[in-house]
Amino acid sequence: MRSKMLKKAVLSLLLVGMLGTTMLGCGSDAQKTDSSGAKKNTSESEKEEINIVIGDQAKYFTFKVAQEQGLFEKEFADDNITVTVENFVDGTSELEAFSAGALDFAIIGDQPAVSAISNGSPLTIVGAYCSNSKGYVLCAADGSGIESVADLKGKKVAATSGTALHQLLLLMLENEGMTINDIEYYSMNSTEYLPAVASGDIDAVVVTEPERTNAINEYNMYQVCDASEYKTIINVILAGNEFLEEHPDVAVRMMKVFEEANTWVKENKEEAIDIVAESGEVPRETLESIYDTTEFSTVFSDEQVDSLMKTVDFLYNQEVLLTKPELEDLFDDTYLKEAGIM
Amino acid sequence: MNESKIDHFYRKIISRFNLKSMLLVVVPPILLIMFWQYAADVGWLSPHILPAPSKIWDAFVSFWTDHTYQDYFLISAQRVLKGFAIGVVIGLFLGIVMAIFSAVNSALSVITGILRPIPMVGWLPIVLIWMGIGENSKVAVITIGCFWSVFINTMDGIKGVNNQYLEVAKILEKGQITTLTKVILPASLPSILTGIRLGFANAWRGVVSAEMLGAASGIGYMIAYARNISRMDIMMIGLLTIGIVGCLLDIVVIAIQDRILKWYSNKR
Repeated sequence: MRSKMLKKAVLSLLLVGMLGTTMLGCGSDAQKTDSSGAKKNTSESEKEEINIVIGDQAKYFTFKVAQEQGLFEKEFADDNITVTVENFVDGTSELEAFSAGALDFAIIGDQPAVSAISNGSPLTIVGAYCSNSKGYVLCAADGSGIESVADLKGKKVAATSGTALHQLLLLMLENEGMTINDIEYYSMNSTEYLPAVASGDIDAVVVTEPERTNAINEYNMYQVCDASEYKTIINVILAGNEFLEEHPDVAVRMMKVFEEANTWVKENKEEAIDIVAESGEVPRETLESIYDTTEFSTVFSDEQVDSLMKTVDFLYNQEVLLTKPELEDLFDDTYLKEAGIM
Repeated sequence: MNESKIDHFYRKIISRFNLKSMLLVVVPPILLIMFWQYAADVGWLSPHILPAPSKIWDAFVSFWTDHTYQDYFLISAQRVLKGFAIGVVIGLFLGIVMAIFSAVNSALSVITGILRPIPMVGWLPIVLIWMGIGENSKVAVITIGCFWSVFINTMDGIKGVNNQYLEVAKILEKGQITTLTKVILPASLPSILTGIRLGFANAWRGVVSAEMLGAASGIGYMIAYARNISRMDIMMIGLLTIGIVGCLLDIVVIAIQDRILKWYSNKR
């Protein structure tokens, strides 16, 4: 009997030890994964191979143009540095890849970037990508009777929770003296919005491209208003702190490449659209709409900085953030300055 | 039916509520939490990957204080209970019919065989299109999760009834209804109750998937929202709720099962 009890006690302690070891393995910042798409930043000297992994999404221009125009090779090939671009469906997936040590840079919305940094993720905003307020819109279903934000009262409205779309919805409601409790709010991913509209379950959605074009062309919705009346929506370039600490000089050179690509995009509209359209994920018509409503810029304007800090205020007031960061806690302009961009 | 070691362990806890057993149950989780907190305090754990227990507790207190947690929990519990009830009824009915009527079994076996491997998550987009984004679609996903365990265990339990019992019923010239209600169902009850217990566990787990379908409340929504705002502490609250409640409910269901099956003994 006693030996049985002892055996069970030992087994229990072993189990605790194994679970503890497993948790340490999951939680270690120093762990590097070795699956496809993961980086191996193993070198201390530039002569060893460095593979930089960049996170991209289907509708973004800069990284695709940089890759297509050979800008990465031009900048880094002689130094045994390669750049891999990985595609993601949304900013949340990019953040998870950062957490796994599988990304070094990514274009992402300001809201997920602020949330991640403020809540302890070792990330830094190193530059801007664009502003695109006209591309973030409120669309209403045909027959819903919604002609303005005020008409949303009592209606079923969808927007992905925790994103800039959710923030925009709340700002729209606040502007009309309403809150989320004045509507029937549903949190849905972008792939779920439009079938729900088609089935009559949703009266309005807050979307950005390419869902905006789909909503209007395929689901007979119409645009009610866009974000330009409420807030400047920005996307930023996010970097992993580990990479910045290990390779600050490479980070500076990356910013030069991003700036060069952004400039090329601004000066070559049709060619830039052709490059992004090549993947086939976003129709050309939608990409034209995205391009026409986007202001590409690697350097933050005063308006964009103001918008970033409004995002901080919003998230802090929504009790999303554990701490309220200052601008310098989020954005490090060192790399842009050393690249001669600002 | 062979009882698993976990079932046996729980039964020991319930039947012999003594200090030694309680220590064996309680001490390992406490040690794990202490080790976890220590690891977080000394910097072995990254807060954005696995927050300290104290951080999770702080977030929980915040959610509890403004009643968000209670509201979300109750909403999820309601959805689970509805889905569970429907899943049990349909699972029992279909399991009994297919077990007893071989023609029905033959007719439906291919269909059930194809549908059974499809995971709950796989049904999400289809259910959304068929049933919309209201409560019905969420309850439907939970029902699907619960149904299969009840159905399979009911069918297996009935098919596994000792033939001698059926022969005795035949010899005693008992009618079909009497045989079903007084012989077959009681004999298959251990298996049916195990199916119901597993079905409840699946229903509770399924609420996480179901509440990703256009929800604005519930434990599953809380987990999805926490993911979007990079709040691992809130995500852990949701996951731990699912785990702890599931464990406690399992103990309760076993206790109920034991009471119903006083005549059934499975000592190891």
